[in-house]
Amino acid sequence: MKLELQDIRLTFSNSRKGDFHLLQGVNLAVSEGEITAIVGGNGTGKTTLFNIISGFITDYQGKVLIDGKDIRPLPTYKRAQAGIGRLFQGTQLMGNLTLMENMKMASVDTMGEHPISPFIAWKSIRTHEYQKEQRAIDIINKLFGSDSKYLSMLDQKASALSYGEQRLIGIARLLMGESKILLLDEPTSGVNPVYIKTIADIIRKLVEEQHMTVLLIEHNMNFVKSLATNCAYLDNGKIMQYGQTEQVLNDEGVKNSYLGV
Amino acid sequence: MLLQFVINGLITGLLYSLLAIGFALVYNTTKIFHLAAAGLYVVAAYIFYSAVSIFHLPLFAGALVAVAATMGVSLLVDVLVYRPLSKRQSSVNVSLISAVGVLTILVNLVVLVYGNAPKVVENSLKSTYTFGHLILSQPQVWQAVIGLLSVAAFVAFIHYTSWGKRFRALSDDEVLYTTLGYNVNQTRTIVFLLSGAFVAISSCLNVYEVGMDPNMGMNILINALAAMIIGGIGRFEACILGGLTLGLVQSLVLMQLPSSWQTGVTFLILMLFLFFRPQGIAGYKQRTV
Repeated sequence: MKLELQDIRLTFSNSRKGDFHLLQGVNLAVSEGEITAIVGGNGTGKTTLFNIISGFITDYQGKVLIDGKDIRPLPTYKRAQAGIGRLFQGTQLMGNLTLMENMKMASVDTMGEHPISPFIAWKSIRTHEYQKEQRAIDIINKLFGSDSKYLSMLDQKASALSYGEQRLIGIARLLMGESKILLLDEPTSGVNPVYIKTIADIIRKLVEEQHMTVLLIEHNMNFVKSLATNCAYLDNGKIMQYGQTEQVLNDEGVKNSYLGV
Repeated sequence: MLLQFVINGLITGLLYSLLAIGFALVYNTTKIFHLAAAGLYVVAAYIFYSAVSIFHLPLFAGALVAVAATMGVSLLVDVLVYRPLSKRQSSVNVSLISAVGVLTILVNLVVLVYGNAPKVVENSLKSTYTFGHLILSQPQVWQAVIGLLSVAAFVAFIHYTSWGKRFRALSDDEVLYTTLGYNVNQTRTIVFLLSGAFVAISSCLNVYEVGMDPNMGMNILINALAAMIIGGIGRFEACILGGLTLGLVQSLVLMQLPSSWQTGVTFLILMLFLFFRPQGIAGYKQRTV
């Protein structure tokens, strides 16, 4: 799936100080099977841009196109069903649900959705649930190894995991869904260095094997360099630089204003 | 003697549990302090009364009508009041005030139609059943049987159906829930329908025994809220444990103290829990991340 942002503008009204123009015409195109990183200082609107793509902010101007189609009318849950997956900066898992339930929740389907279906189609629902469980176990096996502690924690509440571990499972969970476009908001924040490589491998695998389109916000420049094909530098409400990652990160303007070197 | 008080307490506790489930379904999933549940409790009672005493339906049919109608009113409260406020991202205080408003409107409507005088569903002597030293009235037997069945069905629903899993997921994180592709409004529809059903079942079972007046809702809802906190906020099935504990303690207090102490003891237990075990009986400490 191809993601395009066309002239995205967002203004916050502040009666005392006048209007604050956070996004002033953002244009960006991310092709299928490509990893693009968005870098920029704090408060430049990177997460806001993700909120616009996800459907949490609707009063923006401009267009968000998926395969050329404007998705403005779609509410958040329909955008997710259409293939937009997201990893948040903060919360990753639902603490009251077990690890297995968290994995299964990512696989949205209409099976068992009708309130009376558990009574009339319990057998097919059970088979379907079993298949999802097997898929979750396969994913954890593949990513963390057959001796991973997570395999023995599948029935435990997700709140038993540390922040970094929740992030890892949150990324593993992306493999359960039918997402075609992934919005990853600082996937390495709070994760120990050993697992940063695991995360990079997972993302690479998603792109290579499932041709996913990835848009990434990240402050870890080594991670960006090792993973992203293209990079967009967001500042003053606009994409100030766009191109190959090395080229953008080596740009003098970006170095001065963002990297501080 | 002791057994009689224990059984009476557990049956009362079941009724608290049912109402607490009705409240917790809404509170856990939407974070709305659903005081309007007290109004729905009153509405259910008076519809039950109308169906049985005015339209002369059999008891069971009357109760079914009351449950169905309360489910409808519960959904209307969400669609007309709570949902528009949620859409505007109103604070929990605004939702709380709107819930008080709905409660007041519902109670006033009942007063307008039926007046303030207490009413009974069936003005007849109820038969009793004796099991050794234990004596149970016919309404108590209904309360025990239907209460237990309803509670068991709820536990099975929450743990073994995909909707139950969705309820738990929504109660955890609405943003994550919708980002994973689930329709919050559709889930809320089921939540409010089910909440209305549990409030109505609790109401019908109770008023069949003790009758009703338009101002009874808030008093009983306070007990249900205490049951929810004692059981453990955030966990649906914990209401049941909290309700049974509260009913049992209240009943045992009656063995030694006048009934006027019941409310005082309820709040005393509540405060003890808030001080020493704020997560409730079934609650657990979460890892802070």
